Amino acid sequence: MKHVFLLFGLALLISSCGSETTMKYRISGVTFNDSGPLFEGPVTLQHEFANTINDSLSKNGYTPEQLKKITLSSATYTCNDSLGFDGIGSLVFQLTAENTSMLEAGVINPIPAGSKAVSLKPSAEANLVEFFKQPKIFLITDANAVRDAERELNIKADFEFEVVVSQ
Amino acid sequence: MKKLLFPFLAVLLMFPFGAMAQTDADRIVGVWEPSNGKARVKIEKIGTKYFGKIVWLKEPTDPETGKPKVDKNNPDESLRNAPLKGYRMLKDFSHKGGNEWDGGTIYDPENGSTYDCTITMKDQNTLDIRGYIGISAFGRTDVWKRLAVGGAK
Repeated sequence: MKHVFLLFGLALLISSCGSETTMKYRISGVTFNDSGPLFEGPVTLQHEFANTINDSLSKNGYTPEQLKKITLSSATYTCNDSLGFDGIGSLVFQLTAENTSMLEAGVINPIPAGSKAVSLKPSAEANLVEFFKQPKIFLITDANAVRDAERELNIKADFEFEVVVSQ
Repeated sequence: MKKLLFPFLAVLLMFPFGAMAQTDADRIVGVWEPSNGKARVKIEKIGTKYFGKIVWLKEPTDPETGKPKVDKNNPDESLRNAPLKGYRMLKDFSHKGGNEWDGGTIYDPENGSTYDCTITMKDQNTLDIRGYIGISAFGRTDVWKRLAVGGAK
């Protein structure tokens, strides 16, 4: 029932500081879809993301072994159909991978009424570096439906991560 | 001819067992109720692992705030606003074989603690959920019952 599509773009913006370099890594245009109907409660939306951070690192002269820390710095979700986020009470963003335990990375609760675009509050503690050492990452969004609804859910998400690499 | 036939037969014989193993592991998927009846947990598969999220709460409203309960005991302060309904309290279970799923954790939202956990399916409708710290011998087992389809609410 759940179909999730992804169009992604990556960008690395680099800033150096001492023995560490901080970069921005973006995954843009992730589309989470549920063909509906929605039933009250959490709706799991997932996408299998082919991790390409190693390519981006090597283009900038770094190796995966130099990865020290990755945190979510922003997650923006947009629902452009006429209903927007009507009937969706909250969103929780999580990551999981084959050899790594699931972590929550961001949340918005509640979603303000009438919203069509929202930003999640990133976790201050979740270090996501182990996920980005895996070839495949599952991007998971739990959308909490506050009531049953005869509707589809078409969400586009843009994620930005802060990446710290050692020199 | 025998040389050609053997690989073909081997593949043919292996296929049904592979399919059966997949189905066998997925027996755990469904909606389950812990013994205290305070919540219902939906176990689902993501990738090759199994996760369980809270889909129903007996008392969904926090009496202190009058609002839907949130994960107020989460050790990560920035996530304490996450709704309890929907929270994945079972994470990262793999099918060990037979009636056992292990390698996962269980989260207790009442104290914000996470424990190692093993799940044993006693029968099609009963799970023994054993939470422990470090060694399985020192832990507590709770019995969960499967709910019929539509029993999540």
